[in-house]
Amino acid sequence: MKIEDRYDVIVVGAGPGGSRAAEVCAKGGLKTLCIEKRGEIGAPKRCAEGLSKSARERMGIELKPSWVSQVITSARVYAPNRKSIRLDYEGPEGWILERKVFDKDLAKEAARAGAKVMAKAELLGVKREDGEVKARISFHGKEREVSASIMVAADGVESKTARMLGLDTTMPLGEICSGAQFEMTNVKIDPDCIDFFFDQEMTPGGYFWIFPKGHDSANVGLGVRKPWSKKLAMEYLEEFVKNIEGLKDGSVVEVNAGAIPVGQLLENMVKDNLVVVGDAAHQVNPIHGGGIAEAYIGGTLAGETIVEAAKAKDFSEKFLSRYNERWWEQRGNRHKKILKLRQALESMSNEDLNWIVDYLDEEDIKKISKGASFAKLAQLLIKKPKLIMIAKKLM
Amino acid sequence: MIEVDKSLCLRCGGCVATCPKSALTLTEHGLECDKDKCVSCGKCAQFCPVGALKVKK
Repeated sequence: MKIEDRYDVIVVGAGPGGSRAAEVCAKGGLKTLCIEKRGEIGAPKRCAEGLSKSARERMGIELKPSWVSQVITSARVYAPNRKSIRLDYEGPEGWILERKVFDKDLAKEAARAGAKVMAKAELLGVKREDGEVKARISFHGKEREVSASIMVAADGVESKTARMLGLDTTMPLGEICSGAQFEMTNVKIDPDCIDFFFDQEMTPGGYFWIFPKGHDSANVGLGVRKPWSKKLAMEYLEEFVKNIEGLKDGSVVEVNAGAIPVGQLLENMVKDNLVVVGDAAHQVNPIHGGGIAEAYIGGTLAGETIVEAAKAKDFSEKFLSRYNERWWEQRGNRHKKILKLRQALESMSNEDLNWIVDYLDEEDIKKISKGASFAKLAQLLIKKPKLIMIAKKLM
Repeated sequence: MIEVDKSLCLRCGGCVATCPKSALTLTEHGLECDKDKCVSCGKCAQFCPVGALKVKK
Protein backbone atom coordinates (compact mmCIF):
# COMPACT_ATOMS: atom_id res chain seq x y z
CA MET A 1 0.00 0.00 0.00
CA LYS A 2 1.73 3.13 -1.12
CA ILE A 3 1.28 6.45 -2.79
CA GLU A 4 3.24 6.74 -6.01
CA ASP A 5 5.26 9.72 -7.23
CA ARG A 6 3.02 10.67 -10.09
CA TYR A 7 -0.68 10.51 -10.99
CA ASP A 8 -2.75 12.03 -13.75
CA VAL A 9 -5.22 13.40 -11.20
CA ILE A 10 -5.08 14.10 -7.48
CA VAL A 11 -8.50 14.54 -5.86
CA VAL A 12 -8.39 16.23 -2.47
CA GLY A 13 -11.32 15.14 -0.29
CA ALA A 14 -13.41 11.96 -0.35
CA GLY A 15 -16.90 13.37 0.14
CA PRO A 16 -19.59 12.77 -2.50
CA GLY A 17 -18.02 15.33 -4.88
CA GLY A 18 -14.44 14.10 -4.60
CA SER A 19 -15.24 10.39 -4.71
CA ARG A 20 -17.49 10.86 -7.72
CA ALA A 21 -14.87 12.93 -9.57
CA ALA A 22 -12.27 10.23 -8.77
CA GLU A 23 -14.60 7.49 -10.02
CA VAL A 24 -15.29 9.25 -13.33
CA CYS A 25 -11.59 10.01 -13.88
CA ALA A 26 -10.59 6.42 -13.13
CA LYS A 27 -13.29 5.05 -15.45
CA GLY A 28 -11.94 7.39 -18.12
CA GLY A 29 -8.60 5.60 -17.85
CA LEU A 30 -6.76 8.17 -15.77
CA LYS A 31 -4.36 7.28 -13.00
CA THR A 32 -6.17 8.81 -10.04
CA LEU A 33 -5.32 9.41 -6.39
CA CYS A 34 -8.05 10.47 -3.95
CA ILE A 35 -6.89 11.58 -0.51
CA GLU A 36 -9.00 12.22 2.57
CA LYS A 37 -7.44 13.94 5.56
CA ARG A 38 -9.79 12.37 8.08
CA GLY A 39 -9.23 8.91 9.45
CA GLU A 40 -12.82 7.95 8.70
CA ILE A 41 -14.54 8.91 5.47
CA GLY A 42 -17.97 10.50 6.07
CA ALA A 43 -17.51 11.14 9.79
CA PRO A 44 -18.08 13.31 11.67
CA LYS A 45 -20.95 14.51 9.50
CA ARG A 46 -21.66 18.18 8.88
CA CYS A 47 -25.01 17.51 7.36
CA ALA A 48 -28.67 16.87 8.11
CA GLU A 49 -28.41 13.92 5.68
CA GLY A 50 -31.57 14.65 3.68
CA LEU A 51 -31.79 13.75 -0.01
CA SER A 52 -34.93 14.54 -2.00
CA LYS A 53 -36.40 12.34 -4.70
CA SER A 54 -35.64 14.91 -7.38
CA ALA A 55 -32.04 15.25 -6.15
CA ARG A 56 -31.58 11.48 -6.38
CA GLU A 57 -32.98 11.50 -9.90
CA ARG A 58 -30.51 14.20 -10.91
CA MET A 59 -27.66 12.13 -9.48
CA GLY A 60 -28.85 9.16 -11.52
CA ILE A 61 -28.15 6.56 -8.84
CA GLU A 62 -30.11 3.90 -6.98
CA LEU A 63 -29.88 4.05 -3.21
CA LYS A 64 -28.57 1.00 -1.36
CA PRO A 65 -30.69 0.01 1.66
CA SER A 66 -27.68 0.44 3.95
CA TRP A 67 -27.41 4.13 2.98
CA VAL A 68 -30.93 4.96 4.13
CA SER A 69 -31.88 5.48 7.76
CA GLN A 70 -35.38 6.77 7.01
CA VAL A 71 -37.80 7.00 4.10
CA ILE A 72 -39.70 10.31 4.01
CA THR A 73 -43.24 10.59 2.66
CA SER A 74 -44.39 13.89 4.20
CA ALA A 75 -43.09 17.35 4.96
CA ARG A 76 -44.39 20.01 7.29
CA VAL A 77 -43.65 23.71 7.17
CA TYR A 78 -44.20 25.74 10.34
CA ALA A 79 -44.80 29.47 10.45
CA PRO A 80 -43.44 31.46 13.41
CA ASN A 81 -46.87 31.20 15.13
CA ARG A 82 -46.50 27.40 14.78
CA LYS A 83 -49.34 27.12 12.36
CA SER A 84 -48.23 24.45 9.91
CA ILE A 85 -48.94 23.15 6.46
CA ARG A 86 -48.40 19.45 5.95
CA LEU A 87 -47.55 18.04 2.53
CA ASP A 88 -48.27 14.37 1.99
CA TYR A 89 -46.82 12.53 -0.97
CA GLU A 90 -47.93 9.27 -2.50
CA GLY A 91 -44.61 7.49 -2.21
CA PRO A 92 -41.11 8.26 -0.97
CA GLU A 93 -40.38 11.94 -1.53
CA GLY A 94 -36.95 11.75 0.04
CA TRP A 95 -34.61 9.90 2.32
CA ILE A 96 -32.50 10.59 5.38
CA LEU A 97 -29.16 8.96 4.68
CA GLU A 98 -26.45 7.61 6.95
CA ARG A 99 -23.57 9.70 5.63
CA LYS A 100 -20.78 7.64 7.11
CA VAL A 101 -22.03 4.57 5.22
CA PHE A 102 -23.00 6.47 2.07
CA ASP A 103 -19.76 8.46 1.75
CA LYS A 104 -17.58 5.45 2.37
CA ASP A 105 -19.47 3.45 -0.27
CA LEU A 106 -18.98 6.22 -2.84
CA ALA A 107 -15.24 6.16 -2.05
CA LYS A 108 -15.30 2.38 -2.57
CA GLU A 109 -16.95 2.91 -5.96
CA ALA A 110 -14.06 5.19 -6.89
CA ALA A 111 -11.57 2.58 -5.74
CA ARG A 112 -13.36 -0.19 -7.67
CA ALA A 113 -13.16 1.95 -10.79
CA GLY A 114 -9.39 2.00 -10.34
CA ALA A 115 -8.68 5.09 -8.25
CA LYS A 116 -6.31 4.85 -5.30
CA VAL A 117 -8.24 6.10 -2.26
CA MET A 118 -6.26 6.95 0.86
CA ALA A 119 -7.81 8.02 4.16
CA LYS A 120 -5.70 9.88 6.71
CA ALA A 121 -3.69 11.43 3.88
CA GLU A 122 -3.56 15.20 4.08
CA LEU A 123 -2.57 17.84 1.58
CA LEU A 124 0.04 20.09 3.20
CA GLY A 125 0.73 22.34 0.24
CA VAL A 126 0.60 22.54 -3.53
CA LYS A 127 2.25 24.63 -6.20
CA ARG A 128 2.19 24.83 -9.97
CA GLU A 129 5.46 23.95 -11.73
CA ASP A 130 6.29 23.12 -15.36
CA GLY A 131 2.63 22.85 -16.33
CA GLU A 132 1.84 20.42 -13.51
CA VAL A 133 0.91 20.50 -9.84
CA LYS A 134 3.38 19.43 -7.20
CA ALA A 135 1.68 18.43 -3.96
CA ARG A 136 3.10 17.79 -0.53
CA ILE A 137 1.07 15.05 1.11
CA SER A 138 1.35 13.71 4.63
CA PHE A 139 0.54 10.02 4.85
CA HIS A 140 1.02 7.85 7.93
CA GLY A 141 3.28 10.49 9.43
CA LYS A 142 5.54 10.69 6.38
CA GLU A 143 5.67 13.66 4.07
CA ARG A 144 6.11 13.15 0.37
CA GLU A 145 5.93 14.98 -2.90
CA VAL A 146 3.47 13.80 -5.54
CA SER A 147 2.96 15.39 -8.94
CA ALA A 148 -0.05 15.34 -11.24
CA SER A 149 -1.44 16.99 -14.35
CA ILE A 150 -4.45 18.30 -12.46
CA MET A 151 -5.84 18.67 -8.95
CA VAL A 152 -9.51 18.48 -7.93
CA ALA A 153 -10.24 20.59 -4.85
CA ALA A 154 -13.14 18.77 -3.20
CA ASP A 155 -11.99 19.41 0.34
CA GLY A 156 -15.10 21.03 1.67
CA VAL A 157 -16.00 24.41 2.97
CA GLU A 158 -12.57 24.81 4.62
CA SER A 159 -10.80 24.22 1.30
CA LYS A 160 -7.60 26.12 0.87
CA THR A 161 -6.49 24.08 -2.11
CA ALA A 162 -8.15 26.44 -4.57
CA ARG A 163 -6.62 29.46 -2.81
CA MET A 164 -3.17 27.83 -2.91
CA LEU A 165 -3.57 27.55 -6.69
CA GLY A 166 -4.79 31.10 -7.15
CA LEU A 167 -8.59 30.87 -7.02
CA ASP A 168 -10.16 32.83 -4.17
CA THR A 169 -13.09 30.99 -2.59
CA THR A 170 -13.41 33.15 0.54
CA MET A 171 -17.02 33.76 1.55
CA PRO A 172 -18.60 36.88 3.02
CA LEU A 173 -20.25 36.24 6.40
CA GLY A 174 -23.74 36.96 5.06
CA GLU A 175 -23.47 34.15 2.51
CA ILE A 176 -22.58 31.36 4.89
CA CYS A 177 -24.98 29.79 7.35
CA SER A 178 -23.67 28.94 10.76
CA GLY A 179 -25.15 25.54 11.58
CA ALA A 180 -25.51 23.46 14.72
CA GLN A 181 -27.15 20.07 15.05
CA PHE A 182 -27.87 17.35 17.58
CA GLU A 183 -28.48 13.80 16.53
CA MET A 184 -31.10 12.99 19.14
CA THR A 185 -32.73 9.83 20.34
CA ASN A 186 -35.65 8.99 22.60
CA VAL A 187 -37.60 11.84 21.00
CA LYS A 188 -41.26 11.94 20.03
CA ILE A 189 -41.42 12.61 16.32
CA ASP A 190 -43.37 11.66 13.25
CA PRO A 191 -40.83 9.34 11.58
CA ASP A 192 -42.15 9.69 8.01
CA CYS A 193 -42.25 13.47 8.06
CA ILE A 194 -39.53 16.11 7.89
CA ASP A 195 -40.24 19.37 9.67
CA PHE A 196 -39.09 22.87 8.75
CA PHE A 197 -39.64 25.75 11.18
CA PHE A 198 -39.28 29.33 9.99
CA ASP A 199 -38.88 31.94 12.69
CA GLN A 200 -36.80 35.10 12.30
CA GLU A 201 -36.48 35.49 16.07
CA MET A 202 -35.53 31.94 17.00
CA THR A 203 -33.53 30.99 13.91
CA PRO A 204 -32.69 34.27 12.15
CA GLY A 205 -31.52 34.07 8.55
CA GLY A 206 -32.10 30.30 8.38
CA TYR A 207 -34.51 27.63 9.58
CA PHE A 208 -34.82 24.86 12.14
CA TRP A 209 -35.21 21.26 11.00
CA ILE A 210 -36.19 17.84 12.32
CA PHE A 211 -35.00 15.07 9.99
CA PRO A 212 -36.10 11.66 11.37
CA LYS A 213 -33.72 8.71 11.56
CA GLY A 214 -35.94 5.88 12.76
CA HIS A 215 -39.05 6.00 14.94
CA ASP A 216 -37.46 7.74 17.95
CA SER A 217 -34.33 9.46 16.57
CA ALA A 218 -33.63 12.49 14.41
CA ASN A 219 -31.13 15.03 13.21
CA VAL A 220 -32.33 18.22 14.87
CA GLY A 221 -30.59 21.38 13.84
CA LEU A 222 -30.65 24.91 12.55
CA GLY A 223 -28.77 27.43 10.53
CA VAL A 224 -28.47 31.12 11.36
CA ARG A 225 -26.81 33.94 9.50
CA LYS A 226 -25.35 37.40 9.94
CA PRO A 227 -26.39 40.16 10.06
CA TRP A 228 -29.58 38.83 11.69
CA SER A 229 -28.18 36.38 14.20
CA LYS A 230 -27.11 37.82 17.54
CA LYS A 231 -26.03 34.66 19.37
CA LEU A 232 -24.14 31.45 18.64
CA ALA A 233 -25.89 28.90 16.42
CA MET A 234 -25.49 26.42 19.29
CA GLU A 235 -27.29 28.79 21.69
CA TYR A 236 -30.19 29.19 19.26
CA LEU A 237 -30.34 25.42 18.90
CA GLU A 238 -30.46 24.76 22.65
CA GLU A 239 -33.23 27.34 22.97
CA PHE A 240 -35.26 25.87 20.10
CA VAL A 241 -35.02 22.28 21.33
CA LYS A 242 -36.23 23.39 24.79
CA ASN A 243 -39.34 24.80 23.14
CA ILE A 244 -40.41 21.71 21.20
CA GLU A 245 -42.47 19.33 23.29
CA GLY A 246 -41.34 16.07 21.63
CA LEU A 247 -37.65 16.99 21.78
CA LYS A 248 -36.98 18.67 25.08
CA ASP A 249 -36.49 15.47 27.09
CA GLY A 250 -34.52 13.60 24.43
CA SER A 251 -30.90 12.42 24.53
CA VAL A 252 -28.06 13.65 22.35
CA VAL A 253 -25.91 10.99 20.69
CA GLU A 254 -23.95 13.27 18.38
CA VAL A 255 -23.19 17.00 18.21
CA ASN A 256 -22.42 18.51 14.81
CA ALA A 257 -21.51 21.94 13.57
CA GLY A 258 -21.47 23.05 10.00
CA ALA A 259 -20.89 25.88 7.63
CA ILE A 260 -23.35 26.02 4.77
CA PRO A 261 -22.45 28.15 1.75
CA VAL A 262 -25.85 29.46 0.68
CA GLY A 263 -25.01 32.16 -1.82
CA GLN A 264 -22.04 33.70 -3.58
CA LEU A 265 -22.15 31.32 -6.51
CA LEU A 266 -18.78 31.08 -8.22
CA GLU A 267 -18.80 32.12 -11.88
CA ASN A 268 -15.40 30.53 -12.28
CA MET A 269 -14.41 27.23 -10.62
CA VAL A 270 -11.26 26.45 -12.62
CA LYS A 271 -7.68 27.59 -13.03
CA ASP A 272 -4.79 26.03 -14.90
CA ASN A 273 -4.45 22.47 -13.51
CA LEU A 274 -7.34 23.00 -11.05
CA VAL A 275 -11.04 22.19 -10.80
CA VAL A 276 -13.09 22.95 -7.68
CA VAL A 277 -16.07 20.79 -6.66
CA GLY A 278 -18.80 20.65 -3.99
CA ASP A 279 -18.85 22.85 -0.88
CA ALA A 280 -15.38 24.12 -1.81
CA ALA A 281 -17.00 25.58 -4.96
CA HIS A 282 -20.13 26.70 -3.03
CA GLN A 283 -22.23 24.16 -4.97
CA VAL A 284 -25.13 24.18 -2.53
CA ASN A 285 -28.85 24.79 -3.01
CA PRO A 286 -29.19 28.35 -1.70
CA ILE A 287 -32.62 27.93 -0.14
CA HIS A 288 -32.43 24.69 1.83
CA GLY A 289 -28.67 24.33 2.01
CA GLY A 290 -28.61 20.77 0.62
CA GLY A 291 -25.34 19.86 -1.05
CA ILE A 292 -25.07 16.08 -1.46
CA ALA A 293 -26.53 15.90 -4.96
CA GLU A 294 -24.95 19.22 -5.96
CA ALA A 295 -21.47 17.97 -5.05
CA TYR A 296 -22.06 14.62 -6.77
CA ILE A 297 -23.16 16.33 -9.98
CA GLY A 298 -20.21 18.73 -9.70
CA GLY A 299 -17.95 15.68 -9.34
CA THR A 300 -19.47 14.04 -12.43
CA LEU A 301 -19.03 17.17 -14.55
CA ALA A 302 -15.50 17.76 -13.24
CA GLY A 303 -14.49 14.16 -13.95
CA GLU A 304 -15.90 14.24 -17.48
CA THR A 305 -14.13 17.50 -18.23
CA ILE A 306 -10.81 16.18 -16.90
CA VAL A 307 -11.04 13.03 -19.04
CA GLU A 308 -11.54 15.27 -22.08
CA ALA A 309 -8.68 17.52 -21.01
CA ALA A 310 -6.39 14.50 -20.72
CA LYS A 311 -7.31 13.40 -24.25
CA ALA A 312 -6.58 16.88 -25.54
CA LYS A 313 -3.46 17.10 -23.31
CA ASP A 314 -4.68 20.54 -22.30
CA PHE A 315 -5.19 21.39 -18.62
CA SER A 316 -5.40 25.12 -19.14
CA GLU A 317 -8.05 27.29 -17.51
CA LYS A 318 -9.42 27.96 -21.01
CA PHE A 319 -9.99 24.29 -21.75
CA LEU A 320 -11.30 23.46 -18.28
CA SER A 321 -13.79 26.32 -18.40
CA ARG A 322 -16.23 23.98 -20.17
CA TYR A 323 -16.79 22.64 -16.62
CA ASN A 324 -18.06 26.12 -15.64
CA GLU A 325 -20.36 26.21 -18.64
CA ARG A 326 -21.82 22.76 -17.95
CA TRP A 327 -22.32 23.39 -14.24
CA TRP A 328 -23.96 26.75 -14.84
CA GLU A 329 -26.24 25.28 -17.47
CA GLN A 330 -27.26 22.30 -15.32
CA ARG A 331 -27.29 23.86 -11.84
CA GLY A 332 -25.97 27.40 -11.55
CA ASN A 333 -28.70 29.27 -13.40
CA ARG A 334 -31.31 27.47 -11.35
CA HIS A 335 -29.43 28.26 -8.13
CA LYS A 336 -29.40 31.91 -9.11
CA LYS A 337 -33.19 31.83 -9.39
CA ILE A 338 -33.61 30.03 -6.07
CA LEU A 339 -31.31 32.58 -4.46
CA LYS A 340 -33.84 35.28 -5.39
CA LEU A 341 -36.56 33.43 -3.50
CA ARG A 342 -34.34 33.09 -0.47
CA GLN A 343 -33.49 36.76 -0.55
CA ALA A 344 -37.21 37.51 -0.67
CA LEU A 345 -37.94 35.26 2.32
CA GLU A 346 -35.09 36.54 4.44
CA SER A 347 -36.34 40.10 4.27
CA MET A 348 -39.70 39.15 5.81
CA SER A 349 -40.67 39.55 9.43
CA ASN A 350 -42.38 36.88 11.53
CA GLU A 351 -45.65 38.71 11.02
CA ASP A 352 -45.20 38.54 7.22
CA LEU A 353 -44.38 34.83 7.37
CA ASN A 354 -47.45 34.07 9.50
CA TRP A 355 -49.58 35.99 7.02
CA ILE A 356 -48.18 34.08 4.03
CA VAL A 357 -48.79 30.67 5.59
CA ASP A 358 -52.41 31.70 6.19
CA TYR A 359 -52.88 32.32 2.48
CA LEU A 360 -50.95 29.48 0.85
CA ASP A 361 -52.27 25.97 0.50
CA GLU A 362 -50.51 22.63 0.18
CA GLU A 363 -50.26 22.78 -3.60
CA ASP A 364 -48.79 26.30 -3.56
CA ILE A 365 -46.08 25.27 -1.12
CA LYS A 366 -45.27 22.16 -3.16
CA LYS A 367 -44.85 24.32 -6.26
CA ILE A 368 -42.75 26.95 -4.52
CA SER A 369 -40.51 24.33 -2.85
CA LYS A 370 -39.83 22.80 -6.24
CA GLY A 371 -38.93 26.23 -7.57
CA ALA A 372 -41.46 25.58 -10.34
CA SER A 373 -43.02 28.98 -10.26
CA PHE A 374 -42.73 31.94 -7.95
CA ALA A 375 -45.63 33.69 -9.67
CA LYS A 376 -48.21 32.58 -7.12
CA LEU A 377 -46.08 33.81 -4.24
CA ALA A 378 -45.46 37.09 -6.01
CA GLN A 379 -49.20 37.54 -6.67
CA LEU A 380 -49.87 37.02 -2.99
CA LEU A 381 -47.17 39.35 -1.75
CA ILE A 382 -48.38 42.12 -3.98
CA LYS A 383 -51.60 42.28 -1.91
CA LYS A 384 -49.72 43.64 1.05
CA PRO A 385 -48.17 47.07 0.43
CA LYS A 386 -45.04 46.50 2.49
CA LEU A 387 -44.34 43.27 0.60
CA ILE A 388 -44.60 44.73 -2.90
CA MET A 389 -40.89 45.30 -3.13
CA ILE A 390 -40.27 41.65 -2.27
CA ALA A 391 -42.85 40.55 -4.86
CA LYS A 392 -41.00 42.54 -7.50
CA LYS A 393 -37.79 40.66 -6.71
CA LEU A 394 -39.57 37.42 -7.58
CA MET A 395 -40.92 38.58 -10.92
CA MET B 1 -4.45 36.84 16.57
CA ILE B 2 -7.18 34.27 17.11
CA GLU B 3 -7.29 31.94 20.07
CA VAL B 4 -8.93 28.54 19.51
CA ASP B 5 -10.63 26.69 22.33
CA LYS B 6 -10.03 23.16 21.08
CA SER B 7 -12.39 21.73 23.68
CA LEU B 8 -15.29 23.56 21.98
CA CYS B 9 -14.28 23.37 18.29
CA LEU B 10 -16.28 20.82 16.26
CA ARG B 11 -14.05 21.26 13.20
CA CYS B 12 -16.79 22.45 10.86
CA GLY B 13 -14.33 24.61 8.91
CA GLY B 14 -16.58 27.62 8.36
CA CYS B 15 -14.07 29.98 9.95
CA VAL B 16 -11.51 29.02 7.29
CA ALA B 17 -14.02 29.89 4.55
CA THR B 18 -14.68 33.34 6.04
CA CYS B 19 -11.02 34.26 6.66
CA PRO B 20 -10.03 36.95 4.14
CA LYS B 21 -6.31 36.46 4.80
CA SER B 22 -6.10 32.64 4.56
CA ALA B 23 -4.68 32.69 8.09
CA LEU B 24 -6.65 29.69 9.33
CA THR B 25 -6.07 26.04 8.44
CA LEU B 26 -8.15 23.10 9.56
CA THR B 27 -5.77 20.18 9.89
CA GLU B 28 -6.35 16.73 11.31
CA HIS B 29 -4.88 18.07 14.55
CA GLY B 30 -7.44 20.85 14.77
CA LEU B 31 -7.65 24.48 13.78
CA GLU B 32 -4.43 26.44 13.43
CA CYS B 33 -3.96 30.18 13.07
CA ASP B 34 -0.96 31.73 11.33
CA LYS B 35 -0.30 34.79 13.48
CA ASP B 36 1.74 36.45 10.73
CA LYS B 37 -1.27 36.44 8.40
CA CYS B 38 -4.08 37.08 10.93
CA VAL B 39 -5.28 40.70 11.08
CA SER B 40 -7.68 40.11 14.02
CA CYS B 41 -10.73 41.12 11.96
CA GLY B 42 -12.85 38.66 13.96
CA LYS B 43 -14.95 37.37 11.04
CA CYS B 44 -14.15 33.78 12.01
CA ALA B 45 -15.25 34.36 15.61
CA GLN B 46 -18.49 35.95 14.39
CA PHE B 47 -19.16 32.90 12.26
CA CYS B 48 -18.24 30.15 14.76
CA PRO B 49 -21.39 28.16 15.66
CA VAL B 50 -20.03 27.13 19.06
CA GLY B 51 -18.02 30.10 20.31
CA ALA B 52 -14.64 28.39 20.05
CA LEU B 53 -12.80 31.42 18.65
CA LYS B 54 -11.74 34.62 20.40
CA VAL B 55 -9.81 37.60 19.09
CA LYS B 56 -6.76 38.08 21.27
CA LYS B 57 -5.35 41.60 21.17
